[in-house]
Amino acid sequence: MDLIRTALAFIKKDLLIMVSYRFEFLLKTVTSIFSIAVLYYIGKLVDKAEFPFLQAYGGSYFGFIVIGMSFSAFFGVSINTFFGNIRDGQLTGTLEIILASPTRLFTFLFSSALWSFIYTTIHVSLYIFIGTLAFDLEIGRVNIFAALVIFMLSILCFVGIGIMIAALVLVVKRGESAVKIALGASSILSGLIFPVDLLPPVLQKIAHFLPLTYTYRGLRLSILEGHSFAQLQGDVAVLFGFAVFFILISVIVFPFAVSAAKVRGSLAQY
Amino acid sequence: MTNVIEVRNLKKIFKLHTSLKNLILGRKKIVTALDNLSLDIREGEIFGLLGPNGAGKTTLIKMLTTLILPTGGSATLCGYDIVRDQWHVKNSIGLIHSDERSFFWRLTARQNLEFFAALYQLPGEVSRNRIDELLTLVGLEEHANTWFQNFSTGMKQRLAIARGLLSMPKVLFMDEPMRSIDPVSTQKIRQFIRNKALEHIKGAIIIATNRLDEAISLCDRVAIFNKGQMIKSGTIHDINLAAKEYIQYELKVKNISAEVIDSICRMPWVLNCENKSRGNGNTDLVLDLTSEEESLHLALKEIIRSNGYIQKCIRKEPSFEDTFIDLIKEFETSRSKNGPH
Repeated sequence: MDLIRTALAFIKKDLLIMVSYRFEFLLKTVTSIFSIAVLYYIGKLVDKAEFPFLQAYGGSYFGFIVIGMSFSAFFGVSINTFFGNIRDGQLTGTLEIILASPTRLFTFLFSSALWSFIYTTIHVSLYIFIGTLAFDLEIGRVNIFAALVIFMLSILCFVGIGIMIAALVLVVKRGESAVKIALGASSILSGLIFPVDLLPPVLQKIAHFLPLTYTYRGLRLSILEGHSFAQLQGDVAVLFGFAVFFILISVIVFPFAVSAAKVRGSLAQY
Repeated sequence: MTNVIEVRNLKKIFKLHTSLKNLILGRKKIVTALDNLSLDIREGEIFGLLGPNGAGKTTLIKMLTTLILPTGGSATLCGYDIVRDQWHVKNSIGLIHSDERSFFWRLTARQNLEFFAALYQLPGEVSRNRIDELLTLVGLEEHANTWFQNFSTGMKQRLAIARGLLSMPKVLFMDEPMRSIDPVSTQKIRQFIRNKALEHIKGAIIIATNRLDEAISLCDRVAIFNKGQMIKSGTIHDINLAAKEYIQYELKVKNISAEVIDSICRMPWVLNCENKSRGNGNTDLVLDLTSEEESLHLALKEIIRSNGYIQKCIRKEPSFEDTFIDLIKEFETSRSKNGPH
């Protein structure tokens, strides 16, 4: 009950702040239409070359890249929202006030991130809707259950990483840029823009250790080719392992980071 | 009267890296922000934490509000341990930050308070009524639907007070609540704290400040801090009285020779003596005398005996400001002689 009330308060607060910037949603939608149009024409160009590596994903580069880009938005939110909220709280002075209230640590973390996920879901849905309606994005064969499982496990996995970065920000105050560069590189290596099969063998081996590799592959196969849960069980198993690992680590690390910041007296410092 | 806060040998040591070189070499500077503090704060009182910048006032508030963990010692707030029972402690306190920016700037005053009320799990109806009541109480009812970013500094601070009272806390902490506020707003807020805030607080109000006028006008008792140590605590009257080691008299006398002045100044009960000629045989004398009753009598007798004429004799009560400065200086001197603990 406490969690729901707190979560709703955070959602309302963030919604009101977003609404106060009147043109943000409109501008983001226009940008989405523009970017999806660019991807559509790039897709047409790439498809003329008839690359064999795209056959596994239905043969269309447009579908391949749109699904990749859509999920990368969730990946970005998972990574950025936790440390971003903490940094905002430090900058405005609200973090100490919130942490001096009887709000439990993980209730605060979860609630403060909710709106970002809701907003991204709306935005990505719109993105895919525009892609389907105006640019012939083919998602008719989607296996919703398999896609949802891959999606949820991936979100859990990246929420864990996001909380770990937030812990890092609390303790060392800096370092999020280096982590973001590393994660950006991992996006490329794991097949955001082109399939992992195109990478040199060494990088392909590295890609096997990146959860995003399984996310992109699993989502593309379930959405574009309709692969079932059974067909994707390998990817699901790996993502499940990553999710358990990162969530467990984050649950241990974050309270430790808050305690360390309280010992140093640096909770509000940035 | 029961104690709302009990602090026993509370200690906070910070280990700081002072330069990049020290960071690389792993060297840390040890700073004792609070040194073995023991203190009781009673129910129903406004208690002042006084001291210059860096005295340890904010560190103490942050420890009592669970935002900083102590290095040693213990403290309880309403019977709850500040380390072990953090959730109960948080449920018992309100915090008014020195940083008046600590709101969401693109939300209105009401929306901000609604958000913070939800963190204290106040039910909708209770929350709405209390927000209305508090906005009226701090004089912001007409600005309830104004964006926080359009508030003046005084209005922001008043909203912070309303937020601090939202949960009807047992203990309200105010860290430099009047910092950067104009004198008119300061007076209003002080009146509010003195007359109305305590009605809403079931326990105590703790105010950290380096403004002595604030402590004099608001606090029932104060504790004076410097460099992490508590120098004195008690009522302002008691501290003033206890600190007085001499009584100062200001005399305006006529027809008094340098020899007589010299003999008065050398009397054993005269601790300090200053004189200034005003011309035409007029002299101003400032005498710091031991508190023995005889001392003034004997000094005056000496003036009269030499045919001097006493125009004025005023006993100067030391102000709390004088006492405060003396205490700080005394502490600094003893610290430089004996070194920090």
